[in-house]
Amino acid sequence: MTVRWFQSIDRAVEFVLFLMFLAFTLVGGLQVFNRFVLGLPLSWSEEFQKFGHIWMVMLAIPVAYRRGAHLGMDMLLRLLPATLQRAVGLLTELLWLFLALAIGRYTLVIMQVARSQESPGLGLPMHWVYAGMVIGSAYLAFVALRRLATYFGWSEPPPDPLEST
Amino acid sequence: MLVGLFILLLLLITLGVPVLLVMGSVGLAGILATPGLVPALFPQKMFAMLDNFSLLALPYFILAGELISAGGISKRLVEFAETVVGHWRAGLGHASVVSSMVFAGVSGSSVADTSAIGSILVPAMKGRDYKPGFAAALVACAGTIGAIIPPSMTMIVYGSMANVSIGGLFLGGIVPGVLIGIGLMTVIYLYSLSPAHPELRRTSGSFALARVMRATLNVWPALLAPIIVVGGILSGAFTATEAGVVACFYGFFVGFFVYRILKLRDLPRIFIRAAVTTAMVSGIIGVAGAFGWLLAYLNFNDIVLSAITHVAGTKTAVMTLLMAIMLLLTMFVDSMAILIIMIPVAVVIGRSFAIDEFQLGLLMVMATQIGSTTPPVAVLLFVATSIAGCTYSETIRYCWGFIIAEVTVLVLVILWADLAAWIPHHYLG
Repeated sequence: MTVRWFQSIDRAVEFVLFLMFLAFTLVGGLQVFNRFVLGLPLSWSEEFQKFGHIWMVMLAIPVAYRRGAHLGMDMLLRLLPATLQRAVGLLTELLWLFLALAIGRYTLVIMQVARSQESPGLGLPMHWVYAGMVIGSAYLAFVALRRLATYFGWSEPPPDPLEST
Repeated sequence: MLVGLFILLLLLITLGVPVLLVMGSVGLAGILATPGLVPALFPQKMFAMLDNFSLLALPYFILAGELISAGGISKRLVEFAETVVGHWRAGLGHASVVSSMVFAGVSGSSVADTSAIGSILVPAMKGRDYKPGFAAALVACAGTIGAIIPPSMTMIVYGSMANVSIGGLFLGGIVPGVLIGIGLMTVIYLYSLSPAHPELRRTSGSFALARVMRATLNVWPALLAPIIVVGGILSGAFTATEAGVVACFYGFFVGFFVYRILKLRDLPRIFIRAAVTTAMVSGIIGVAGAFGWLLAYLNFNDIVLSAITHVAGTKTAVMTLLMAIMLLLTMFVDSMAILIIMIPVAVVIGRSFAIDEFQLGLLMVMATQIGSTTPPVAVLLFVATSIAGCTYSETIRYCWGFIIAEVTVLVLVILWADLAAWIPHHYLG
């Protein structure tokens, strides 16, 4: 039951990624169209794309982590005895949790300060932009906790691997 | 402090902890441990690094590559390349270099280039009795062109971190990319002279213009993509980011209307995959923003600069030394991680020795790419070896000739800045 709940969260996050990426790509297209065809550059489109990219990256880092896609060199690791491999794996999950909690916690500090600032193009309060980093790290921590739980007997079906073309 | 940070960094990377996580947690630990620094600096520097419009070229070109390759272009490209150079000795080998060069104009990633072209050509080469290790080494080294001929993810990373025009770097990559292609083909030719390689003397079919025309009709969308991107930047109409947007719409148009392979219900999957790939690279750039800031705060760049100035006095000597360091480090550590750590150092060196920014950028990008084909740690060789299904040591046996060709082009760019810098300066002013 819990597992199914978790999986719907994962799917929802991935669908949000798609919508964000689609949205800022369309705005990018609109920017090019406006500038070249209509001769009317937009004032807000660059910021929309930049902030959309930041939100997307922060949400997609945990997705890549869940799918085991992050770049690393595992050649030496595979030569180690199984118990050591397990220890390094555990250390890796703990480091992810540490990174997620720290980014989330300290971005909240920045958000306090940024409450009074507005972005120049969109006029968006800056703490909304930073909120993407908090939400992303919260999901990152959630994924890390689930991965940690697998070291203590909990199990969930492996994520669908990144299909390749 | 600095020494401690680097020991921790290397230890964790060697243990196989992902690069993003290593740079992030070591940088964070460093900021926490340095007296006088507030921890909120970490997410703030990370945000500042990502808050950069030119970095958007990265998701756009990744998405464009996904959209175009979802249209099944690589198989057609290989057929095209074979009709053009297949009648030469070791025709399939030459075809793999030519297809990698054309694919490089569509994709910005050397890993994508190696796996797309390799997965079609390596089995074909094995079918004609090429040694699997030779085929693997060849497609891996040809794959490096993917990140040198525009567009290029490595150049977007370099340009956005070093504050150099990405469009200019793209234009600067054209000549070195073609030179590497010629160099690799020369090495194939030399191999075909050796009595140990009778399979490389066989030719397949003869040249027929009609066949070339027919194959060209099949691949024109792929041939047109780099022309739109490079033409748009050359004419000054587009920035690299806008060229990336245009490439996305173009890729969608080709897949949806020309090849009719792309379906609307595939789009979420394609976008999500591109988003994940983007996050893997942008994520490293973000944490590198904080890590690099810490290194600069601890005077790392100045220490390296004074050490290098101590050893080398002239521009050429400095560039040679920098490249030697890059090539040495990338042998043992993932080359993208090395590039990202070394970019601020390179920028400081370039400024104090008045090295042309495009020449320096191209050198750094090329060294990164060569680094991903130099054993023991060589991501492109790993990819190609797993496609070829041979042993890693067999691939390594054949890679050296191709690496010499790549290093030769690197040396040419050190000696002759115009190879990389003339086109961007001429067209972008």
